Amino acid sequence: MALLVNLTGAVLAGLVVWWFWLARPKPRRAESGPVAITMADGAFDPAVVEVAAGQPVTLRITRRDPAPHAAQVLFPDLDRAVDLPLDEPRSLSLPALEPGEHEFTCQMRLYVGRLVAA
Amino acid sequence: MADDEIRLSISGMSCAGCVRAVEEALAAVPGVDEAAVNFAEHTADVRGEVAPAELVKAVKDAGYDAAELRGAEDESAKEEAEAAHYRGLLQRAAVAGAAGALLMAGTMGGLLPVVEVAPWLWLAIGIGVLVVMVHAGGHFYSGAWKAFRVHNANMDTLIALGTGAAWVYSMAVAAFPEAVPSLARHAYFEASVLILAFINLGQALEMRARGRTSAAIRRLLGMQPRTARVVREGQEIDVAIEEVGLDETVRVRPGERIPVDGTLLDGESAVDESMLTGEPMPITKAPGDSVAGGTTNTTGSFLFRAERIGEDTALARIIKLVRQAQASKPAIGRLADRVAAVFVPVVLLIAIATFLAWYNVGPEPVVSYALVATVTVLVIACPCALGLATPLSLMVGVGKAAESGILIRRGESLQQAGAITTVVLDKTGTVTEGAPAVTEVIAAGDERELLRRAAAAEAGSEHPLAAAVLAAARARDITPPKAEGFEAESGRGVTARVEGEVLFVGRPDAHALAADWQQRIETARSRGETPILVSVDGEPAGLLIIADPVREDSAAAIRRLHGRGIRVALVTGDHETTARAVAEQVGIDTVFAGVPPEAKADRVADLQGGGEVVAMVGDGINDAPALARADVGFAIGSGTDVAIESADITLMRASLHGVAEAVAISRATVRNIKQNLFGAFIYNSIGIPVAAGVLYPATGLLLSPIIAGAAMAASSVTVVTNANRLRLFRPEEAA
Repeated sequence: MALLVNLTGAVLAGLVVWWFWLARPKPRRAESGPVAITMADGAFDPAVVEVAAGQPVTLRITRRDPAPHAAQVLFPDLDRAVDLPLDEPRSLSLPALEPGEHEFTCQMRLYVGRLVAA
Repeated sequence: MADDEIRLSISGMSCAGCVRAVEEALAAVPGVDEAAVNFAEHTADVRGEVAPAELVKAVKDAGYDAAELRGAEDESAKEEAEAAHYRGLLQRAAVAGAAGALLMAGTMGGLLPVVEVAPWLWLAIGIGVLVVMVHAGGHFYSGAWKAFRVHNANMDTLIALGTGAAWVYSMAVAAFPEAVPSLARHAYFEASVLILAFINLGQALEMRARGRTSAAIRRLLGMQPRTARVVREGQEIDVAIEEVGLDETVRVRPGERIPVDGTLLDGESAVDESMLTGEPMPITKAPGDSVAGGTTNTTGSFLFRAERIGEDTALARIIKLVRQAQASKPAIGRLADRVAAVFVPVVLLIAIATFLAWYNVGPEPVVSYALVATVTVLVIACPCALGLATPLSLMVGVGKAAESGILIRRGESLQQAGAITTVVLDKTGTVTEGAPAVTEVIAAGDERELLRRAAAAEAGSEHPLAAAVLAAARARDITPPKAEGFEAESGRGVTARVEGEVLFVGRPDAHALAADWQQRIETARSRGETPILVSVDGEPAGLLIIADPVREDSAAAIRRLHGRGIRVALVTGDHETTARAVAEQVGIDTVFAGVPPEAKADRVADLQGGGEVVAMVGDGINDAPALARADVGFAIGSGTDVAIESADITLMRASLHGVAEAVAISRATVRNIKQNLFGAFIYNSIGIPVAAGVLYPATGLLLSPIIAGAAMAASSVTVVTNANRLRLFRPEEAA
């Protein structure tokens, strides 16, 4: 029994490391036009967006979560932020991005998403 | 996804061709489905998924002007949504709290039988508790699941796992009591619901306190009037603010707020601009003067032309700037971000390690102890306190600064302002009023003729001293002749050909002058005035003495900076004697004189090379390179686009006190952030090990998960409350 419990613990620990650090969610490739992102129930949808590098991109973010920390989305690398009224989409135009990843979060980092420019 | 409908006011259209050009420009913007221009109203209606800023840019690129017609931001809807959320949190806390209290009373008062006596009863209680958990914590569970699906873990994950594990274990005990050692046959249903009660209550209190941190933005938004009185076809009519178009004539009556930005056409009044600039005295406005939306007219009535509307008004840009700054992250917050990014998975690993440690080496009943310690670790860990520590203090600090007429571009600038060791002040327009005037004309021949020629040569110059010469000529009704071959040599003067003669107007130093003129030059300089020489074909023709009075409060503001241990230096293109005289008047000890505008940045760099953290204060226009080079660039005394764009901090009020106040606000904000970060780190660094049971071997202490839930809720409330303390800070009273 003890062996089983310890083994389960070790497997769980491995799963935590793999799921949260090693495995990456598959990015959703943005089609032409503004990229729609929704923030609700603690997660951006999509949480990882792939956009074309070297081209300006417009994001259209809709907040469905009334919690105050969700009232702003920050793009710390790009020094940009957008205020989000509840249930009203807001557009944010970003300049052409260098290839790489740009994180976006709510004020408290409870919502975390990534913009992958490729 | 629904399309946006955006309305623009267009100016500059004069014919049907213009209508087509604007429509084509709008239709070419990606995301636009339909664009229709109404020539009579000078408006455009656009439908599509597109940012208004892109539409405005397209119209401007086509050679016209445009601004979005948008109503004043409605805070009431937002406040209503937040109030409903607050009530919801309280209600969930009450339901979960009541259920938990009943269960606790039942267990401790002996009203409920132990699990093995009536397992069916406990199974029924478990189902009831599940209903309460879904009601009071459903948002945590769905949040945790959604975050998990995208490989993310957050506070919801910890709460969901902590309360979920307690419930699952309790149900297992109730369903299979024989499978669990007798000492471990205990249900923890009350812990599940009481944790949710405390966390909901904490979030409600946090939300209420957070509302106060954005008071400054609400005050700014409250300055936007909802209606305006416009003159259309000779009639004055009241319209909603979003219907005021570019170039419309607007009436402002006594006591009213000015609706948008523009230029006064007719009438005169004193306008209270204190909410925008912090300047307490009303400013008299006459035809030709600019007026800003959101400021208050006092007793007069006037008409003005609307020139900037919607998001282009000074007030809207200030609000945008404040919001951007509040949302940015200063360096001090990045450590917390780095920790927060790995925090929850690390806590999950600690929870697993805790369970295994208790299971392997803990006392009997090991399963109970292991479960209690694991749930307590999950529940006590608080990523929220880390996440809140920086943004909330920054929000209050930036808002506080805006209330004092100090506009901060980025959180980084706010942090840097507190670390300044040297402030470099530009002379003209910064230490002085910036309105130089010719006070004396010394001519070898006719004074009017000297001014006429000097004005002709200076007509092509943008230097403030040139403006003084031209103003002196205008005051004497002198019309300067046309100049040719104008050349300006930075820091020296201008040369031009006027009526066949080569005129030089500038510094007199390179010329051999008569002893009495030399004496006049020295006297002027010793008073802090600037003498300039006018020479014709290389022969000295006269001197113009130009004075720019020192701002009334410059000396007091510089004393405040000295009081904060900050060195103050003066940089100017002026002669050493003039610069020293001004420096002496205001108490500055370090002077860089004779420095041309482009070399000011080098002086800043020299100081930085010596290890100083340098702030440069200037008008934001001709010293932009120095402002950019400095660790913190302050533009003083204007809300012009150029100043706001080029400076890290813009002082809306033309006073150096703003620099001292920015430093004071910065230091108070950084101190507040440090307190929050320290609290959040210490809380988690002590709370998590104690929850895991590190004190148990020595003291027998093992925290209850319920206490952990209360502690977690209290930790975020503490951070918010501490950030709110900053609201009481009075920068104007700080030495």
